[in-house]
Amino acid sequence: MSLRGSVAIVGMGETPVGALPDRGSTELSAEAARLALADAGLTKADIDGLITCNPWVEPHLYHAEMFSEYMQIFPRFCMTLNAGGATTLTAVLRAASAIATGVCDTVLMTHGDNPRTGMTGLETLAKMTTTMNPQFELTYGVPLTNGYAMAGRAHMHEYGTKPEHFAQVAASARAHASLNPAAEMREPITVEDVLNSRVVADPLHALDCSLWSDGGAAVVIVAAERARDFPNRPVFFLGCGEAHWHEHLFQARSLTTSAASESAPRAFEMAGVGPADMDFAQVYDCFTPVLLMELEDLGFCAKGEGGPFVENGNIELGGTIPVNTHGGLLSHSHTGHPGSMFALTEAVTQLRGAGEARQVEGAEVGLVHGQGGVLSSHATLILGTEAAL
Amino acid sequence: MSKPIPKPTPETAPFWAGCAEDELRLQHCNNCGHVQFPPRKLCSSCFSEDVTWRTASGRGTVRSWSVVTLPGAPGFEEEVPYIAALVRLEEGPTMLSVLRNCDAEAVDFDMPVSAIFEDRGETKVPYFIPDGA
Repeated sequence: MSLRGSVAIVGMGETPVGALPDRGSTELSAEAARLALADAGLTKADIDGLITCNPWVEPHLYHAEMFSEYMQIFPRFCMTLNAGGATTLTAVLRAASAIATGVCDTVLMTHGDNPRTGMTGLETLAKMTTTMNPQFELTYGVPLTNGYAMAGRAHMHEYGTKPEHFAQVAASARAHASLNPAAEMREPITVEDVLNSRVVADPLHALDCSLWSDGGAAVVIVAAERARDFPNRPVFFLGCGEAHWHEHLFQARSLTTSAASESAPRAFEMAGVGPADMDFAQVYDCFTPVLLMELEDLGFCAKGEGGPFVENGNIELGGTIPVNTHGGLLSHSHTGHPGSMFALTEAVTQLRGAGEARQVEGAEVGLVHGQGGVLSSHATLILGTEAAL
Repeated sequence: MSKPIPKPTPETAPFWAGCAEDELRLQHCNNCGHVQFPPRKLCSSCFSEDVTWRTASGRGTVRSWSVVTLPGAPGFEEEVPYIAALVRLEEGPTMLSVLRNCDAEAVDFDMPVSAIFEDRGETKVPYFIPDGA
């Protein structure tokens, strides 16, 4: 049994993003859910599957159960997932599996968090330390930014990648964000702007790092046979693959090749397509070197050539593969664990042809990739229009 | 706030006991020869529980590094800037640590380093210094 073409996304909702000091994580999830249901033309009584993601602000031991109580919806399939930035994509795979096997019919996936304004600096630092190995990392007080920086530096050493290449990733993300009214940072930036920004963890500059935002997004997933009965153009699940190699960076088998090199072939095999068939890619970009490495590992360019590949607008609209058409975590928003939700809803937007100024002409098939931890959990999703089935 | 003090578990206690005696200790598998870090109840390569603690050389090389200017945990405010490094030990495993007695400009890939031990609470924590420093 293949999951290819078995389910479709028929509803999506996005809250505003940025600094939302009057909002909480639960209500952001609720607003996103309400918008996604309205978009799908469904009521809460239609939902019998629920997948949430435990936020940093207002976490709950049984978060999905708490959220179903809050919304007074009573699912028969209910789970809280945590694979960091890969959570969204691993959630889609579990939703597809549950629907295809008849466990439930209509899954609501909603993730919201407000780490930007919902926590003090000290609370944020305390939360960050929980991602570290308590004996062998926390002991040295090294933030994950420096972990990603060490991976970036290793890529420079191994492949001749330059800080200018990292900077180009940030500039390209901003170019897309400038076309997206929903993006948090819309003022265009240049490679020089990035290189002139403060060094936060050498070789990474401030503008090599993603935003830190409040916000939430949700989608509704149903069986493909029902997908044409909804108000909006359905977006079909074509393939998904995961790979999990480590949690802590010092246990990584490589600093320059990620588990995306396994998750992507798994997703492409299920979907029956390859990197060259993609019309766009929404790829996890918490720090600029990560995007470079993932472009290589996803197969968009040869290993080690990510740097030159991103030059000359190649990952922008009109380039070989437009990447993060919404602006990505670098310029749209980074809401913590829910961060990849906006990559997913952007893919849905593109495949509906609703991207307006940032629409990829004739987009029929696209890729979404999420990464959690420090290059740890990887999940790749391939989506397509009905024509791609 | 003071720096976090590592709290040994039954699996890791021999490692920290070694540090307290200025020794880096690693687990060797008697079945397959695998050397592992962090410590585990079983060999992560072959799942044998026949693993032995041995004193390591304390020598390694730098896989990558980055200067910490914004500490990632409370207690390090006074210490920044300092050089975080991934050190590949001679025996194979990689450790996250911090380089001492070293200028950031002088660090290089594959630079040979050796373990030193600094007091932290009741125990000691391994750091690394460049050879000849």
